[in-house]
This record gives sequence, C-alpha cells and structure tokens, in this order.
Amino acid sequence: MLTKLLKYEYRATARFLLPLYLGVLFLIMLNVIFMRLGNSFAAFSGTPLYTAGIAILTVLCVLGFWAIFVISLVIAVQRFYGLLGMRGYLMFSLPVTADQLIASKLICSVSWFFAALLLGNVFFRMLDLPVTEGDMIIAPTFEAWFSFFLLCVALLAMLCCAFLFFYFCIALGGQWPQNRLLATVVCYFVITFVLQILMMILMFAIGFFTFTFMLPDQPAVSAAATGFFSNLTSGQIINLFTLFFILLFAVGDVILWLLTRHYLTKKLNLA
Amino acid sequence: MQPVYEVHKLSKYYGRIRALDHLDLALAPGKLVGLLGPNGSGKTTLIKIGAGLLTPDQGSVLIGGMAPGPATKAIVSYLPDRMALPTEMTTKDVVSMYSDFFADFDRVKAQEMLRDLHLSDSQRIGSMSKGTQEKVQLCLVMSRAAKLYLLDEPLGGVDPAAREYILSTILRNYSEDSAVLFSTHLISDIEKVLDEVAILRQGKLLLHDSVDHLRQEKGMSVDEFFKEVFRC
Repeated sequence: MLTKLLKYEYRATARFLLPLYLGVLFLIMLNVIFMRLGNSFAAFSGTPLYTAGIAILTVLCVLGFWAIFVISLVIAVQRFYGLLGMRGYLMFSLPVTADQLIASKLICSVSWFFAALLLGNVFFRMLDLPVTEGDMIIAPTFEAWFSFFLLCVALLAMLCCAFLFFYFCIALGGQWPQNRLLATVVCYFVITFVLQILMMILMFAIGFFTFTFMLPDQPAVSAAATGFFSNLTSGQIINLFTLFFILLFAVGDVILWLLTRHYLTKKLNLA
Repeated sequence: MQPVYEVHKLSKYYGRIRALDHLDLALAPGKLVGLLGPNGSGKTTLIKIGAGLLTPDQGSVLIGGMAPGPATKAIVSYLPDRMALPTEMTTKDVVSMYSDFFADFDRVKAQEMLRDLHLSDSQRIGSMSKGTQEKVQLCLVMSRAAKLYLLDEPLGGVDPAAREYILSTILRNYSEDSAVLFSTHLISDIEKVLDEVAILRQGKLLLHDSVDHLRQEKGMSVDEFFKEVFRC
C-alpha cells in the first residue's frame, strides 16, 4: 500500500515541482553554455553581453534554488495540512495505516529536497569554479566517503525531524477543527519556543554540571576525556559530533512520528 | 447473524456539544437502512465514526466484528457528504486510484455506471459541476463489493432524473451479506426502497424499526411520521 500511496503522492507533487526543477535545470544548462562559450572564445568573454548574461543567469539560478526550497517546503506542509481537511475524507477511508500515510508524505517531501540538493551539486560542478590555494581538497579516501555518508545521514535525520515537527503541529492543530489553521500556527510557535527554552536550560545544566562538579572533582575523568579527544583526528571528532547529531535527530524523529501517529489514530477529528 | 455495523453506548462530543449520546444500533446484513433525523441529530457523526474519520469519546464500534482500522476500511464503502476526490485528477485517474487501493472495486462496473450517467473519462474532477462530482463519487463507491456502504446524503446535489438511476444502482449493487446505511432528508424519494429506518434525535436513537412495521403501526408513511415527530 505504501508504494501505491507514494505513486499518487509523487504524481500530485510533481505537477508543481517537476516543471520548477526542470526550469532551474534549464537555467543551469544555459549558464554553463554561456560560461563555456566565454572560455572558448576570449573575445566574447570580455564583452558586456557576456558579463551581464553570466550575472543575470547566476542570479536567476540562485533565485530558482530559493524558489525550489520554499515551494517544496510549502507543498510538503500543505499536503499534510490537506490530509486533515477535505482530502482526508478520501485518504482516511483508504485501507492504509496512519504510519503508511505519514511515511508516504515524509518520503516524498524529503526526496524532493534531496533532489534539490542534487541539482545544487550539479550547478556547482558545472560552474567549474577555479581552485585557489586556500581551498581544502578532500581526497576520495574511505574516511572521506564515510564522513560524507555520515553527513548525508545527519541531513536526512534533520530533514525528517523538521518535516515531522510540521506534521505533528498540524495533527495537534487538527484537534480544533473550527480554527485549524490558527491552532496549527499557535502550536508551532508555542512548541518551538518551549523547546528552545528547554534546550537552553539543558545545555546550561550539562555545562554547569560538567565544569563545576565533574571535571574538577574527578581528575581521572577529566584526564580520560582529554586523552580520548587528543587521540582523535579532526575528521574523527567531526564524525563523532555528526553521529551525536544523528542520534539526537533520530530520537526526535521517533518521538514526533509516534505523537503524530497517536493524533491520526486515536484523536482523528475530521471537520 | 452477526451485525455488519454495531455501535454500543456510543458518545461523541464536539467541545460541549454532544453529537452522539450513548447510542446503540446494530445493522444486519442484507438490509438497506435509512438514517433519518433533523439537522444536528448526529447522522453524519455516526457515519464518519463508521468510516474511521472520527474517533468516538465513549462506547464501542464494531464493523464485521472488528474495531475501525485498515481492515474495516477494506470492507466499508464510504460516500462523504462533501467532495473528497482530488480535483486535479480526471475521472479515469480516480477510477485507477480506487482500483489500486480497494480489492473489491469492480472497474468494469464503474465504467458502465459512468457511461450510463454520461460522465466523461477525461474530464477533470475540478472542472465538473457539484452534482456531476457527486455522481462520480457515488459511481466509485457503489462499484465496490463492500460489506457495509455508508452513504451520507447521496442524493443531496443530484438532479431528480439521476436520482432514480442512483437508487436503482444502490439496490442493484448491495448483496445479501452487505448492509447499506443511507443518510438523507429526501425521505419520500427513498422510502420505497428502504428495509429499515433509524431515526436520531439529539444524538439518541429515537426509533429503529422496519419500514413496513412502522407504516402498519403508525398508519402513515415514514415521511409523514418524520414530519409529525419533528414538526417545528
């Protein structure tokens, strides 16, 4: 059933997003052709037409990327919001579970974002930017690929967390069917505010506890921690932090998924 | 015989408003039941709970012996009181969608019904009139071989000429082991096809009886009885 849901989800979102993505890809291609023409014909690269053309096309590409990210986000949120509105009368009468409904929306939204990142990658590769002395070139070693893989997983977990947070706020806002939009917006801001305060208190508490009680009173622990980190390379430390963030976002993903599922199964209230 | 749809002490609140109040109702298979009642009596709420779109606050709901969930949705064919089909899709697309999700959906039957009602395959749902949209929705719902049909105001926006066809379609499609719960205000139009009526008042079951028995006992038609009870 999930594959069937995904089929219809991709079809519905592609109506808006595919032309947008293809439009930006077309702009990238145009940009590249213009640049290559400038590289091949020195006389052309010095003309005001070339300079203006490159500037306009680059600005259009950047604006295109902004449009892609903003519209992808709006569509992702609007699709889930619609699920608890008129569209829900069909979607919730299908023989599918709430997990499958959440998964279909999430997979579709996240994959469009990854497609946008891929497009961004194509853009930067095709720009063929000259390498300067200050640039860090990462050799294609196993460690580099592993770090890249971890970063991708962290990005995936973070994106899922962001979308699931929107889904949870929409599901919670659905408990007030007469003022659903207002309730959703209020839930979003109130929960964000409360979470930020809690995170700040937690960080202060951890910092205070570690530096006031733990490290000075326990020289052995302090030495072990220093020893542990000094034995690691900078790449390994980055990987360790990436792993920590993956874990943090994964916990957030699970909690938000369970809460959203709870509201879609036990508290469903289609107006 | 096990009821197809059974609710016990069912209550549902919208804030302080009590939409259903300790309602008990059981629908036997093979019956076409009219769900009647004035506005705000709880008809749509009862149907939506059966379709799994609302969760009850108290009481139990059983459909084919199961609590509402994906398994019951596979055997319940629900027609909402509003347009629920994706407006960007064509009739052909929604037929494919129903065929994809419902194992009991009969694509040939749906296409026949759409043809009989002169509905185009390639027309977008969003470009159709309200009545035409309702006809498409009803064709899809009645093309399933479901155990329970929950029809919320299926005749509301449909022209009188199509009403006859729709009623005969409903009669033709439901079988001995399935039940139809049919909410409407057009009592005189459907009275002749109903086996039973369930009348709600302020979320409570006022009466659940066979149409023949009710007519015999009260000496009047269901329509006349309804007007008598709910006279303003």
